[in-house]
Amino acid sequence: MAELVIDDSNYGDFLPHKHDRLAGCLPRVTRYGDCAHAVPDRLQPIPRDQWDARIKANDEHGAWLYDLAKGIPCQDQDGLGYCHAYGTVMAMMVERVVQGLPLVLLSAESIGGPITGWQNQGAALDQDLQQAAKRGACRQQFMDGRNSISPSRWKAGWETDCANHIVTEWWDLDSGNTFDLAATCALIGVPVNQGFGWWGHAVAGAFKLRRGKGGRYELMSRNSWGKDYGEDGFFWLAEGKGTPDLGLFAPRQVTASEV
Amino acid sequence: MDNRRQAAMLAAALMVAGATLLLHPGGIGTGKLRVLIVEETAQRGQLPPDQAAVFTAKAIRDYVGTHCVEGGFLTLDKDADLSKLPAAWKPLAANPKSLPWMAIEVNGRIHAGPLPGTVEKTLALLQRYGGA
Repeated sequence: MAELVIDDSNYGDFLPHKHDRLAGCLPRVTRYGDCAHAVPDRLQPIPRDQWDARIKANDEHGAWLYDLAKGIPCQDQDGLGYCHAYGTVMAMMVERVVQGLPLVLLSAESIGGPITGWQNQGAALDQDLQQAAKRGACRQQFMDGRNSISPSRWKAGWETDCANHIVTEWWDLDSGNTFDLAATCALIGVPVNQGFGWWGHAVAGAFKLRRGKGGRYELMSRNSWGKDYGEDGFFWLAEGKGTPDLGLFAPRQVTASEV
Repeated sequence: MDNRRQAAMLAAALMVAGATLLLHPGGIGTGKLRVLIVEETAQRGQLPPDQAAVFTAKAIRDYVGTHCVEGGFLTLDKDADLSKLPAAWKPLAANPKSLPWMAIEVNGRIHAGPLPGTVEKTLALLQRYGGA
């Protein structure tokens, strides 16, 4: 598929039912600054008058998260309403690569399952992050099949394996001004999970920032609807529809226990 | 080149760089590098663009991918739980005097100092210890 840009003029074409997909991102359940394991007010947005210089530097050095994340296989939640968890584990996988840790494919179901009672339903992103901080995510190889939410069929030891991939610090960036904060994360190489009310959907970001049509800024995200979406899951969200309003969270440190 | 001459040249290079040289008796001894960057991640946005790019720059990733021991490149937040790090990393993580801080170990020697201000300078420093 060719480059995909979603903006205020065309977003209706990309709603989940147009793609026979489920979305499952719900409003956060904790108040900002009141979430266990999270650090609020950790990041100051980079002023917009500095963005173009930083975009240029990242372009010159191939220093975008995209350059590191494109080596991670695109995920597909298929008929599962676990976008909240798929976005979370993609951000965790990217953060591990940024830290220099080996690439491991993490199970979104091991995060989303416990917080939904192993039902196929949506959840809030702060619930996923709390689960990732408390219990962690196991590797996909423990599952009995793709998108399985039947842990009784998974390989023994999956819960123990979760403890190898725990988020030890995460930022709650949901303080308002979320587009600028997501753009700042893109500029400094911090992966996020972000939710969008118009979409009812969560996707991992912020892989790249650029000026698009008319000088408007656009942020690159990655969907979990398979590799045929956008370019291997990567697509652009223009400011406006690209402003996260159902949560913006960054897993900042993931355990390095296997180094 | 004998060992004493090598050591003298290395010491001279380190003096030029204003670097700290420590001897680490439990060195890895493979000739490849082990590289650790310690940072305050929340401050990355306050770094100059060319220095902030070091953390994800392709040239740095390519270099450490071929010149480090396996799994020998790591970036950590200053608040990370170092108790879970394998012993080989602990001498590199000890006592950063400023942030961001970079420590390089090769053959039991540790060079540690402030992270250079650009991708090019960081790569040059890595090449000084790990070769081209």
